[in-house]
Amino acid sequence: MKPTIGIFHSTIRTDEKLILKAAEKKGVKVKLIDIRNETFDPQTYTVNFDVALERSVSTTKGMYCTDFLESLGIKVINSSATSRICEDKFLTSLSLYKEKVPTLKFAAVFSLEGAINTINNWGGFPVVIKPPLGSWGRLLAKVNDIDCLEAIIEHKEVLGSPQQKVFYLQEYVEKPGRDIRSFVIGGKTVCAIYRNSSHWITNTALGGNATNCPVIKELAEISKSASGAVGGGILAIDLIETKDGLKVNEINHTMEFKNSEVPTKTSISGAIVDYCLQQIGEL
Amino acid sequence: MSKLSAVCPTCDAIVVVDDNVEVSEIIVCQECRSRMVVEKIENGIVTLVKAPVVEEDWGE
Repeated sequence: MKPTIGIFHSTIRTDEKLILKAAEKKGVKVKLIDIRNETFDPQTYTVNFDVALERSVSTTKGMYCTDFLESLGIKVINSSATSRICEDKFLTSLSLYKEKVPTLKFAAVFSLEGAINTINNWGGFPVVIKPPLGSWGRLLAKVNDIDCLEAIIEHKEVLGSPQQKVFYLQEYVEKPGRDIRSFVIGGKTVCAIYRNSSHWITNTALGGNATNCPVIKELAEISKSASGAVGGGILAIDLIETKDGLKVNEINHTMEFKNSEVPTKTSISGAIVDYCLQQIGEL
Repeated sequence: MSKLSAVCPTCDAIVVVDDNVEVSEIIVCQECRSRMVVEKIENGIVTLVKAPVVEEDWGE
């Protein structure tokens, strides 16, 4: 009997629909489970699936879901260890740095003075400031000068949530009008896209367009190393082409890929389903 | 052609919905481009509500 994949979701995006379609094509049963309607009580919870795929659009709810399911001994993709690192840009950078995976210079600071010192150490502006938690290119700022830095930090200090008062700084690197996203499943790069945009933020959620990027050896190797550094699983790794070679920018653990299957001619959704089955020894 | 349709909660346009639509699925109104979510599907009737506003921890 074919196993059942429990997809833990909130709003269902085109990405989840692609996974459903891929599973149907492979004859794999799927149970859609809306996290928002669940009660995670270990004394009463009924498990009616074989492996869980966490696809919540809310990182916070997804994290609690993964922790809960793992506490019951259920295999969850991605694992709580991987998700906890990838949801936080600072933890991701620390993991990459520890494993000597090429990445951009980074630091976390908690004050304007700390930011100024760091930027001076790096050789000056511009730098990028990001919230440690967040996605889709939201609240990123390219900081070109001290006036801009002062304004952004003051706004965050006055208006921000506690998380927004952690200032994640990253070196700014000029990009050739694009960056690269590799789709890495079980350490293997199944395909990659260029995210093309004239804006310094190339996120497709902000209008960047996707074209196929050949998976050359350097890309496959750095993607595998980056995946390993954060614990592996199903990951989208964002990379920047620099004069010193490829460097990892960020890693996404509930990746969106709807714009990438057509240009890469790759069934990313099919690879996701296969990986879920492999994890429970069913493929 | 899908047999399912619904009413856009923003502009009242008739929105054609795929036959394989799921509860909680995001739909975009072809008329006003607003984002909606499928609230329920009962007896072939699809009910849409306005999509929730993006929250700070949303993403991938």
